[in-house]
Amino acid sequence: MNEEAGAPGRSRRIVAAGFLVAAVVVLAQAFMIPEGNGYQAVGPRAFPLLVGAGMAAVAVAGVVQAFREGTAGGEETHWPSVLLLVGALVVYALILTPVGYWQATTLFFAAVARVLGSRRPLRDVAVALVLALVTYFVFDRVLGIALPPGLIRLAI
Amino acid sequence: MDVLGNLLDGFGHALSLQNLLLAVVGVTLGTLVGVLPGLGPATTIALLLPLTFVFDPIGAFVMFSGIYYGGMYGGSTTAILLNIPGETASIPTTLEGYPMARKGRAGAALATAAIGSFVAGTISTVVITFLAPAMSNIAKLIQPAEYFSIMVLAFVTVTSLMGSSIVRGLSSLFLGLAIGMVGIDGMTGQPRLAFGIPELYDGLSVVALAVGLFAVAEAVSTAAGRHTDGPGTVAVSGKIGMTREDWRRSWKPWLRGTAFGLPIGSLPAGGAELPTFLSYNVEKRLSKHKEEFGEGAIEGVAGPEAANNAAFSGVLVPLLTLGIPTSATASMLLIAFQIYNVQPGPLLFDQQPVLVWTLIASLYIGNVMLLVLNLPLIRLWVKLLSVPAAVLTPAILTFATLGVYSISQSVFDVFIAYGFGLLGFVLRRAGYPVAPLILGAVLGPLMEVQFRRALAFSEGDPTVFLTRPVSLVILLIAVACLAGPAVLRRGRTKK
Repeated sequence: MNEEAGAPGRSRRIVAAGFLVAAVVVLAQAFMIPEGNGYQAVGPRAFPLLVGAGMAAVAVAGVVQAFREGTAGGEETHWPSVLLLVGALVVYALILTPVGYWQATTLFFAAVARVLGSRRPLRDVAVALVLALVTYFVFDRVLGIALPPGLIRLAI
Repeated sequence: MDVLGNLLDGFGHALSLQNLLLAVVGVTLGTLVGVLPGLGPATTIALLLPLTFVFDPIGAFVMFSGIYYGGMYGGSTTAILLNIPGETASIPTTLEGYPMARKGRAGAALATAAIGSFVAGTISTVVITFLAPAMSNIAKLIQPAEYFSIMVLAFVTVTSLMGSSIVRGLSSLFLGLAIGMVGIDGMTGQPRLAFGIPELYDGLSVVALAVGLFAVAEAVSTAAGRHTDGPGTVAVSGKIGMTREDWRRSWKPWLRGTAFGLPIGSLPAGGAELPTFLSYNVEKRLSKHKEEFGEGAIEGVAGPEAANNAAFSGVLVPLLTLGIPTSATASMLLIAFQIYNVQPGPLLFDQQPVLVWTLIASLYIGNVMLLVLNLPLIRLWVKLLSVPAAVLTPAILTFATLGVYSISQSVFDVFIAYGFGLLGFVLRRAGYPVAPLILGAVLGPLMEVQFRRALAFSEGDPTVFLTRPVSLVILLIAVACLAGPAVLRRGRTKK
């Protein structure tokens, strides 16, 4: 169909190879599962083996298909932005509990806006702070879902 | 009639002040998030799912049906005004809706989508009110071997209908099945695919999986494509509404769309893609204004939108009575059920009558509310389309994180969601569909239960799936669906 037109050939080859690796891992893990105790007709191993085999079969077909197609076309990926975004996500998840929900969220929001090309840091911080505080109050205080309070405790 | 009594009961619960408010909030939030570019109904539900947890199951499902309808309507708005289909089923809407909007007829396109969805949704809800309980009685007779085969059929049809390559669809599906097995085996206590990591013994959180694959992946894609300019948003000029001519040209496509969407959606092999594309092609063939197709023919919006909505209601039949989701959105609904420890299936109507009938009653309410709220508020929603990506993307990520964290209070799950976000991004770049992955992860464990039951009954004889005639027929249909498109394609290229 039409999405085939911009098919990114090279990334597809890498992903197809990745699926093959995943299939091998699943099959290897499935073989290591002990096959129950004999009380049951089928133990915990049969279904993983079946899935692993199916996975391997389509993965091989996928690799063949990917290498038959050319590598032409494909969308360009702005990798610096992706890497910065991933970095921001990792930091966000790590500081969420020690620093506190709304504090970490404000930092994260403003940072990601910057990564995505925003050149209005004041607006971003303002939006971030309002959003973080509102969600914090709605979830933590109104809905009763505890979020990490962090270093600075709010008086209210 | 028993059904009517139950339905009235359901309305009794759904029409309490609290639940009505929840329905309003659900529809509003659903539209609000669904209208954001790139966020289809499944993503919308994934993002808003955590909000429903604080309410009792009934309140949560009332809100949920609001989110469901709101998210769907929001999706058609972006399809019409931005030319961005939130999911495959919205593609036909973009074909005619966007050209209409560019010609200054956005108001008519939005109105025919809204009213068509309302008509289709209402008819479908009436039908499933009677069909679902009947189906559930039939479903009780289904034996494990047949159950397994039906799931195979559902997998195959959904996979072969989505995306351009069956191999890539199946790759996603099998990966999902493998992900669904992670954790301790419920029947023997044996850890599987957990790699000795204690956090994995409970299995991967499907909410984290869904939020990652839909919402986080969308955000990463935005970051990856930041150098490209966004599509032009078309301003809504003129009034929202349809002329007499528009009505005359819309009502038949609405009904025909419903006639395609409802039966196909109700099959445990359906989904919403096939009926919307069918409806588009039929309207194109039947129209007296063939020359307008591709340039903004109202029939091409009215029919597919009605078909889409009818199919979405129809999908509830296999979901509620068999526990089989046939679309990404339906998988999200199944996840919501599982969070409340409710297992949809043949016994649902007996075990959870209040819940089911309140849910069905709230579908009627959600439908009405959508029409009442959205036609007047459409200009407000359209303003959301101008929110810059630099603000929208961090907001999506913030809510995705909040949702995953608030369910489990676990940073590990947040990392899982981010990890699947990256995976979803990579898969999408390489042209792999992610919906089969979600479907496999959600339905896989249920499929294994039926698989093992069937083999327990046959005392380990694996030919049971082929020797029972009904199971064999279902599997043969599945094989035909798998091989059919490839054979057809080959035939076409030879010509």
